[in-house]
Amino acid sequence: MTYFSFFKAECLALFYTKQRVVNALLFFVMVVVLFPLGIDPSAEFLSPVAGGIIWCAAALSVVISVESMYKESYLDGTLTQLIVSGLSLPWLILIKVGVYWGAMMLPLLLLTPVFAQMLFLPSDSLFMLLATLLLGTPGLFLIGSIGAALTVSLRQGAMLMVLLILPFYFPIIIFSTAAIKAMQLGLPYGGLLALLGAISLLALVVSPVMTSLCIKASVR
Amino acid sequence: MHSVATLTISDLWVERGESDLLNGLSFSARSGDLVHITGANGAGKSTFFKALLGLLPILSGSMTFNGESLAQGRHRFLNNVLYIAHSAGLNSALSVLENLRWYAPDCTQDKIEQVLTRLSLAAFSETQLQALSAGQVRRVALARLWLSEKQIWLLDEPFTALDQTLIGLLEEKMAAHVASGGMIILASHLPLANLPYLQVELSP
Amino acid sequence: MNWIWFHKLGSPKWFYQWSSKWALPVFSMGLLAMLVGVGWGLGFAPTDYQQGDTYRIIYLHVPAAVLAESCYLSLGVAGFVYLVWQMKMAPIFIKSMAPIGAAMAAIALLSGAIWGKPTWGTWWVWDARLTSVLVLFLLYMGIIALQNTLEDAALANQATAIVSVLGLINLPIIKYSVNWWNTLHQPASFSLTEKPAMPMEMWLPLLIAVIGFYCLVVGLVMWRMQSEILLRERRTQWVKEKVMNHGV
Repeated sequence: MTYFSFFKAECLALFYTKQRVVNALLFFVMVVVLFPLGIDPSAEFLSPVAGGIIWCAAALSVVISVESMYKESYLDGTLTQLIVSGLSLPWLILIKVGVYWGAMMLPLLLLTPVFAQMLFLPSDSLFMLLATLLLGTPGLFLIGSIGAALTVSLRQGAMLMVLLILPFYFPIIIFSTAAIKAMQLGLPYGGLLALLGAISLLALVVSPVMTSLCIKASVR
Repeated sequence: MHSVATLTISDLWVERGESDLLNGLSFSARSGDLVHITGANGAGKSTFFKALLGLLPILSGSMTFNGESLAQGRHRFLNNVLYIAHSAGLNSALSVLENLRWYAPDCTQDKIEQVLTRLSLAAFSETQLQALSAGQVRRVALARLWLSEKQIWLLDEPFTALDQTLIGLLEEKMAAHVASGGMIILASHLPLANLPYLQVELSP
Repeated sequence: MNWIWFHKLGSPKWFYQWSSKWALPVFSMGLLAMLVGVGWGLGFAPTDYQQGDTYRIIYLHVPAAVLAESCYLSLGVAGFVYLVWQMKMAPIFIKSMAPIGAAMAAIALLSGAIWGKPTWGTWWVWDARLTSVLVLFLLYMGIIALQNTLEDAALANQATAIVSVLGLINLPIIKYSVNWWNTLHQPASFSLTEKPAMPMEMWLPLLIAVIGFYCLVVGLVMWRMQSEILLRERRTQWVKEKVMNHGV
């Protein structure tokens, strides 16, 4: 096994099970639709909160889809093989998270302009929304990876995972929506974007190591 | 030919749930050895492999590979190890060929197909793992032995779900590996028919 | 530097015997200090010229809020100690401390709400400090949920340690991020290092109450750890002897 052959195998496996990615995107759509249906469909209500709605929907669909990231490898013994492969487990984890991020975020970024339009997001804010998604979602996936590894041995781990991981998502969601709001109000937003990037970078450093600790503790 | 390697286990104890296992297991093996670990169910055969691979923490004792403690140089040990566990360790979404290419990216297409033919899997090379029977999955897992250059094989009950022909084929392959300077540690409750081996018995 | 205390702390037997001596005195002292502090504060401290008598709830609210954060800090430190040195006592501490911390956060939230109604005219505001205590409470609940769900003890140890450490890294980020809301909350009313803004007669009972809460929590956590030690070390000789000789 090499890092590259692992990357190829992960891409192929995700391609064959693409329905899962589609499900996560549909979940995203469902959550977005809930807001106009459940609260208020008028442009006056939706327009200022559109960025927040899209961010909440994205965070929820990420946490739900990441939950099962290691489950099958845990059950079929491939996770054990990764640990004993002699390759560095944190790097393998980083590859896997990267593949998942790409597979889910690229279509989600393509969907975002459509939903921004439907939620009456001012068109000059769209660029900002996309920028925060690009900077912030790697953090969501990396933090989620730790939670997924913590709950991998549980048959019904999804609820616990959400409970455990969502508080860690709060800062990312707050900074992202704050950046969008700051731009709409004509305030400086560079610092907020930098903070968002810093959180993702911190997660990039911490998450693979923590995830590998959790995986090693789970595979017994 | 592989270079000379030694593996020494001394006074190994592992905690597993409510009881301590392995009872101070000690043995030493070098390249060219086939170690056959026997013992009843629950005596700790799988536990021993897990301790050796670092999947389980050990209670006491020491394990050294080429004179270096495994606690320090585990990855140097793991770089030489091929481990076939109870579970196949294959990705069920991928095809047979893709799974083997993942494990052995350097092998040529011809080489892989040749091995698949020997293990009578040639017809399934493009089939997804989840469509195969338990016996077929087992053979795919074992195909890694033919494709790997690793020196040390750790085989946990490799004969499960194999018919007589395949057991013969596997024993033949093991004999060739040992003859070329490889080391095999094998746990099985079945006796080995045609091979010389060192026996290590685990008692519960 | 002498590290023997550190190694001793890692031994459940030593800790059990040591804490048996200290738990009751510390707890009683804490109870006494708390009663004195809270009683003084509620009954005898002067009335605030702005808030009237409603301010008196700080004698419950402030100690609980301080403890909620201190407890989390201690969880994070214990988690780190476990991840680095695999010290046996650390997960026992985490398991014993998490519910206490959660209770402190809950008390702080409830008393804050009761304070808020007469002061701001509303039970709850989404202000920075209230929200970060709420998030803290959620983090505690996550750790408790994880501890109760994972059946494998070794995995539960590792998992709660990791979440505690992550929470510790995350706590300042959360605090900083929730500060992006305009805060209605008054600035911190209590600090040990700065000269207190409130008069001495108000401040002193608060200090006593905080110290009382600290001792109370230390005593409680020792007791909880003792029973956890007996459970986890039930196979060892000293626990067997103890149970044979004294019962539980």
